[in-house]
This record gives sequence, C-alpha cells and structure tokens, in this order.
Amino acid sequence: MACSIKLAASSKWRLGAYRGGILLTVMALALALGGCGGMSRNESPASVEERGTPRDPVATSPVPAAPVQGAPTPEIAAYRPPAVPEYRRPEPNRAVAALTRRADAQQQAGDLGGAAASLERALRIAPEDAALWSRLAALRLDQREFASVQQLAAKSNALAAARDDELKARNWRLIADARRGLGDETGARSADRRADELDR
Amino acid sequence: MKKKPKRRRVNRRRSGTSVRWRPHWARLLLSSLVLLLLVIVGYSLYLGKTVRVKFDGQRWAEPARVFARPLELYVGAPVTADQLQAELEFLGYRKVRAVDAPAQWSRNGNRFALHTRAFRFWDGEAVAQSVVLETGNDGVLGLVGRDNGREVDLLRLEPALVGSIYPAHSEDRVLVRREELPESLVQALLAVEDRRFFEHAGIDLRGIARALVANIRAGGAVQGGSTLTQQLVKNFILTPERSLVRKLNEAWMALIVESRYGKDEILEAYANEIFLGQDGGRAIHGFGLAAHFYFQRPLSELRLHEVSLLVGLVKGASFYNPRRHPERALERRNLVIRQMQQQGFIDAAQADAAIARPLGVTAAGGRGLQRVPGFIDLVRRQLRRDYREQDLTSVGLRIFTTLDPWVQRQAVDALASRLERVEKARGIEAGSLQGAVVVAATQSGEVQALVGGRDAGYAGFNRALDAVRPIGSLVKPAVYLAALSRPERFTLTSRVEDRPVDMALPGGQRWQPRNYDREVHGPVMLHEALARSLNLATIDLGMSVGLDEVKATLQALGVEREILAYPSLLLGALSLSPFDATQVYQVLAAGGFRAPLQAIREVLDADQQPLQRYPLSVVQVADPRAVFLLNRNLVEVTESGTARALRGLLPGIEVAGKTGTTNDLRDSWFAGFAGDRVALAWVGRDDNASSGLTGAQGALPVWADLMRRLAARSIQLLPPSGVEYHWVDREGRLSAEHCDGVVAFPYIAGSQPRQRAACGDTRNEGGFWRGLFD
Repeated sequence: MACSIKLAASSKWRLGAYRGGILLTVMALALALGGCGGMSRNESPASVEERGTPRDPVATSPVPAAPVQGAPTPEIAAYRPPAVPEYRRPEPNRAVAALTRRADAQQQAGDLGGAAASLERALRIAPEDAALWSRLAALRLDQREFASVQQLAAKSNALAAARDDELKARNWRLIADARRGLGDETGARSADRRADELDR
Repeated sequence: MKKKPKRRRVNRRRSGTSVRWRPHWARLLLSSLVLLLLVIVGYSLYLGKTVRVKFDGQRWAEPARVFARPLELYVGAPVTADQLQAELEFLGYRKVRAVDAPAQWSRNGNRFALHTRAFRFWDGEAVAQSVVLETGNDGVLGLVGRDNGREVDLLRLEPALVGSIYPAHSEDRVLVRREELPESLVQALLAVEDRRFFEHAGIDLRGIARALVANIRAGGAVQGGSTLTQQLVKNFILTPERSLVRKLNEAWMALIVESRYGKDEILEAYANEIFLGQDGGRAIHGFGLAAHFYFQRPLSELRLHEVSLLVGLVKGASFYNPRRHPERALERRNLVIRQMQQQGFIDAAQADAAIARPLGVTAAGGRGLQRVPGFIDLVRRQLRRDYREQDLTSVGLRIFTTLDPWVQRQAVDALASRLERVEKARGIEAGSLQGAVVVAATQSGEVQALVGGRDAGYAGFNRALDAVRPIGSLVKPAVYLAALSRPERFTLTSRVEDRPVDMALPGGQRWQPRNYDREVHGPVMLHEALARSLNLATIDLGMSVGLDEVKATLQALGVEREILAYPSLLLGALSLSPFDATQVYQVLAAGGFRAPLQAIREVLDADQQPLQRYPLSVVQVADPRAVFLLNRNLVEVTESGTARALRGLLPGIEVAGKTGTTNDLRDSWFAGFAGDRVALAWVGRDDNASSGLTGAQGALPVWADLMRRLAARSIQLLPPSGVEYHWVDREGRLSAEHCDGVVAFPYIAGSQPRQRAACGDTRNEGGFWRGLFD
C-alpha cells in the first residue's frame, strides 16, 4: 500500500515546476518515505538494489536479476516498482524546436498541410514527445479533422503517462473542442470536466 | 442481267470523260503511279503514326521513382560516423580531400565536411548547404555551417533513389530534359556517333560514305553510318533483324522524324531511349538512369571520363559492359575521349587527364545503391490503393517512402549471416532455410525495412508479404491482452490452470494439445503462463476469456485476414504474413495505439508538385493500462521466459517480445520491440518442411543481431495513469516490500489482490499515511 501512496504523492509534487522546489520535496519525501522507497527488506542482492532507488527512471537498463534464493525467480526483473516520476517536460532539442517554430509560422500563414508535415517531421525525431503529439492534435483541430484530434490527444495523454497534468488538461480541452465539432455536447462536457480535474 | 452492264457503261462514261483522249498505255502507267503513290502515302502515314505513337508515348513513359527517407542531421541525432558514411555512399557523394562543391564529402576521424545537393522536397526546395559535422559514439555532437560558423539546427540530406516502378516490359529510365544533358555528353555523341547531327535531315549520306571508307581502311567496323535519328528509330522498331528492307524503313522513318520534330527534341528522345545496359530483368534505358546505374550519381554530376564511358556503351551495352568486361569498356571509353579530342571538343590535356582515370563504376549491388525489391513491392501495393498501375509506371511520379537504407542493410545482413550460422551450427543443409524481416517505427508505424528473403537483392517470392504461415505462440499476447483488459477478472497474478486439454473436434477427432516440454504444470500465475509460453494454461485462460473476445482483440490489433474462432486459435492456428504480424506487435509496442504500417509519406508528380501526402494517423484500439501490463509481461518473456536467450545476446538492454514456433518446427518466429522500433523475424522453409528450429533458435537470434547492429536502446515503458504497483507474494496475496520473496506487480487500479498475506498486512500500521494522502 505504501508504494501506491508514493505514486500518488509523487504526482502531486510534480506541480512545483521549478527545480529547487522539486529537489526539496524529493528530499523531504525520500526521508518521509524511507520505509517504502528506501532499502529493501529482501535478502536477495541485485534486484533489490534496483527497486530501492526511488528516483530510478523506469527506463534504465536493468541489471539482470540474480536468482533469489528459494524463489522461482528471475521474473522479478521484469516487474519493478514504479519509478518516482521526478518529471519535467523534456526540453526539446534544437531540431525539434526549429521544426515547431516552422510549424507555427506555417500555421499562421494558413499552410496547415505544411505545418502538419513539419510537426510529423519533428515527431520522427522525438516520437515519444507527448507535447508534440498534443501540438499536432491542436493543428488537426484547425483542419477540422475532429476524429483525428481525439486520437492524437489521447495518444499524447498516453505518452504523458502519470505525469504532466497541465499537458493532459490541454489534451482534454482539445478533445472537448473536437467533440463539440462533431456535435457531441455531452461528450464535450465530460472531457471538459476531465480537464478541470487535472487543472485543479 | 441486262440492266447491270448498262448502268456500268453510264458510270464509266461519266467518270471517264476527261481521260478518254489518253492512249491506253499511258492510262495504265498513270494508274500504277497513283497506286504506288497511294501505297507510299499510306505507308508513310502508317510509319508516321508509328513514329508519333512511339515518339510522343516514349517521351512520357517515365516509371515512378522511389526514394528512401531523407536522413535528418542535428545535434543529438542517433547517427554514427559509419552510418553517415554509408548514407553519403548511398547518395553517391564523392569523397574528396577538400569539399568545394555539392555532393562532396571528406572525413577526418569523426569530423565530416559535407556539401549537400539542392533538392525539391515535398514541402519545398532545400538549397545546397555546406557543413562540418562531428560524431561520437551515440550520434551527432556538432553541426556547424561552413560559411558562417554558426550551429545548424537541422539539416536534411536529400533522400537516396532506391528504385523505380517500371511497367511489365521492364524498361526503366530516369527522364532527363534536353537542357539537363551535359554539354560533354552531346559532344561525345556527336564525336563518335553522328558528326553532322545538327546539319543532316535524318540520314547522312556523307557520313555513310565516310564510315565506309574508315571501315575499309581499318579492315572492320569502327564507325557506323547511322545517324542518331536512325538509331533512335531503330530502338522504336524493336526487331533485331538486319535486312535491307529494315534499313530502308529506318531511313524513311528517320526522315519522317526529322520533318516532324526539332533537333533538340530528337536528341532528348534519343538520350532517354537508348539502351545502355541490363540489370537482371530490367532494361536500362537512357543516360539519366545509366548515370545512376553505373555511377550512382545524377547525370549532371558526371565528369568527362564517366560521360565518355556511357557514350561508349551506345555501341554495345553488353559487349562493353564495364562491370563484366572492364578492359573492353576502358578501351572503348578512351576511344571516345580521343575522338572528342580529334574533333576539337577537348584539348589534349583534358583528354589525357580523362584517360588517366579509372572506370569508376560502382559495384553492382555493392556499397552503393542496394536493391530493395521487397520494399518496392510493398510500396507498389500500397500505391495501388490510390493509383492506376499505368500511372505508376508511366507518369514519372516521385514517391517518398519511409525506407531507412541503413536499417534495411542491417536487416538484410542480420538475416543472411545468421541463417548461415544457424545452418552450419545445426547441420542443416546450407541454403535450405529462408527468412523474412520487417522493421517499423513504433509510434508512427512507418516501415523502415522489409526483407523478403535471404537474397534480398533478388526480386522473387516476397516472404515478408506473401509467406502466410501459422503464427504459433505469437498469437498468445492477444489472448493475454483480452484477459488483462478485464481487470475485474484477470490480472498478471491471477491463477490459471495448466491442465490437460482434450476436446472433441467436429470430425469426430480429438484435440489433445500439449506443452512444448510435454509436462503439465498445474496452477500457475497468468504472467508465468505467458512468459513460459504454456499451451495448456493459455487454453484454460483463453476459454474462460472467450474465443470471440480473443478474435475481437486480434481484429482490433489489426488482423484483417480470416480468424476462425476455434480453440486451436489460442495456440496460433492463425495464418499471417510477417508483415501482418508486425502490425499486431506495433499496436502493443505503441501502448494500444494502432498506426497502420505504411511505406509512403508523399507523392510528387513529374513536375515535382505535391500530389498526395499520407498523414500520420493513430487509432486507440486497446486500453493502454492493459497493454502496459502485457508489455511488462513481454519483458519478462525476454528476461526469464522463452526468449531469455536475449539476455546474453543483448546484454543490459530491456526489450519486450515473444517467440513463436509451429507444429513440427516448421516456422520459427520472433516479434518484439526495443528502442523506438518494432521488428519481426520469421525463419522457415519454402517447401514448408520442418526447419528444425524453435522461435528461440531461428528467428530470435536474427532479431537480436538486428537490434545489436542498430544499437537498440531499452524500451521506455511508463506506467499510464491508472496503473499501480503492489507488492505481492508467491501465492498472489497482497504483501509488503519488506516481506520475503515478494515482487511488485503492476495492476490496473482497483484490481490488485484483495487477499492479504500475513506479512505486510499494513491495515493496522498505515494510519499516518492514510491521513496524509487519502
């Protein structure tokens, strides 16, 4: 139970956008959550070290787990406790930033197809950038491709995973607009409510 | 009977009044002349029509050109020095000591200087740029403009031309316009083929006389008397016989051509029509394509000695084939150069310099342009949805695809080298195994590579698209996804029964499948059943989820072929092509979002105007939470399950995937994802006999080799909102981290086990936390 608490907690401190705040919060929580996030009580060596460090991103390469005594083991390696999402939206690299600027200019000039092509180009460079997917969804809204807006915004939400509520709220508003565009007022209101919850 | 002659007489009288005065013989002569004239006029009209059809038709019959993806260079791009060099070679850039013109590069360690070509992209013209680029182990470290020293945000190299879609009679060409013909090419043609081209009217009597004299002097045929126009006509007529009638026909048609068309038009048609080589079943027509075929460069970039070689080939492309008969070709080339010198087109110094150069022809299928018939096949099929076959092969479309030549090369090499090793190591008859590989970008579904067989350059049976085989255990993730999508009933730690199955089949037979190890394992956890690919437990699970549910899941994952909802479906009695199966795994890799596997990004028409764009599209078809659980399970497969060999083959890299093996070891499958790619390998035999390999023995090492060559990174699986980790003991009871032998499993929120283990029951301890966070 303690660890699901950790997750819930973590999704709150992310709101402090500046680094110092996060760092302080992390330290405070790390102290407070010592029992959960800290050292394992398990006797086994390798796999334990790994699940211990609270700020280990999920993505790090796993150290192959040494067999745990008596357990039917190595499968432990595939299941690790949640990474504590010390999350800041990644700074896009220069290439992605340049392409996004280009897309902005194209969109403003009314060249929506060109803007879409630029954003897709950016997505090939950073395919897991949730903010880019959201940006593309917003463009499709301009193109009045409502079905596509909803899918792209949902994709952005999925990539944002359990972090970046601000982005997810924006996505829900896009979904709401798209639903309105399709004449689905009820659906739009429910999407707006999701956005409100996240914005809170 | 009596009336007819009368009427005839009347008629004759009327029409014949004006000629009645002529003598009989004159009338006969005149009518013969008229008849002859009519025949001549008729025949001329016929030839004229032939000329028009051929001439105007040929001018427009340009096959669609297929381009690879353009390589994007920027600081942080995952492009190594080797990869960049390979790309520059794909593009036919010249390696030089000092870069001073487009399409050149130099390398000093990890520092490259390169000057790009200008290129008309879908979204506009890109000008040629000169940059300095530095690479490190992980990719590009620096990218700076050479003119101003400023950092460049992004540089898009032009895409490599990887093939064309030519019609059934297999003539391929890259059209060039008159103004695109290098002056040296025209000069060389004049020098050796037709000196008086710009003066004569289609046939050149002086030229014939001169050739005759020259040939008698030389004691053999050194010069031809045919004008360029006659040669062009000869190509139109397309019959190889040599006869006087044919010669006369040729001359006649040449005169017709000259009367109808200007010299520049004729020259342009000639330059695009002339036969310059054979590439397997493909005929190389025209200098535009020949430049790519022999030198892998556009015609405009060829230098004197290269142009001279192409012109030399006019006389006999197979006799002077520079790849097969380099000495003959060299001799011929030098003759062309000397002729140019004699006619004053070049001076002695230029001629000597050109003669001193080697042939410079790229090896066929060597480091340069690789043949990708399997991928082109896919492009062609996808284009057929939107274009008529006739348009594809004749209107000069420019097709921009998703092919990554680097990934393609790694896939080709991984398959070929691994199959050889497997055959050797297991004593399998050399060459008996076949295989296929498909690689796609995870999130967008863009197909980066497609290998249809071991000999990837050979345009034969495309196994990636057409080897429709039972997928075996590759189907299982769909069964488990169907289950995990019902969190109220199934979780990773749910209990499933691995017990004997005995079902009656419609024909009165019985179905008694077994586990691969022929054991029965009893109650196991759901995740364990997938990791160990237990057949009996999967049947237990699938039957309780429901066959229709499994079928619906497969359809959502993109399976379009017929699915028979029999129990055997649960063990992979479903036939898919490697390409079809890759789509299924793309959806899993992308967290439940299907992006249709696509090979085309954009199409431009012959005038380089945008015609069509294939936009990125995704559709959510599965619950991202359930897919996340499944993907963690597929990581377990590669870490401790049936694909655990990957731990040794790709040490330290977290990947997800599944093996598949069919009855009697006929098919060996592996599908999985790593980094931002999803890939699938299939190994089997064309005669559908046993390959003697399980999925882990055949396809898996191919896949692992490929990922290693691509320097694959670990997958990035982030738990979506609504997924929680809970510590669970071996009995599947909720426990706590400090307890023995517990593992933290992800659950869709609310579906975690209710039952608590004695250890870790925090109900009496957690008051403080509850107060703080609930």
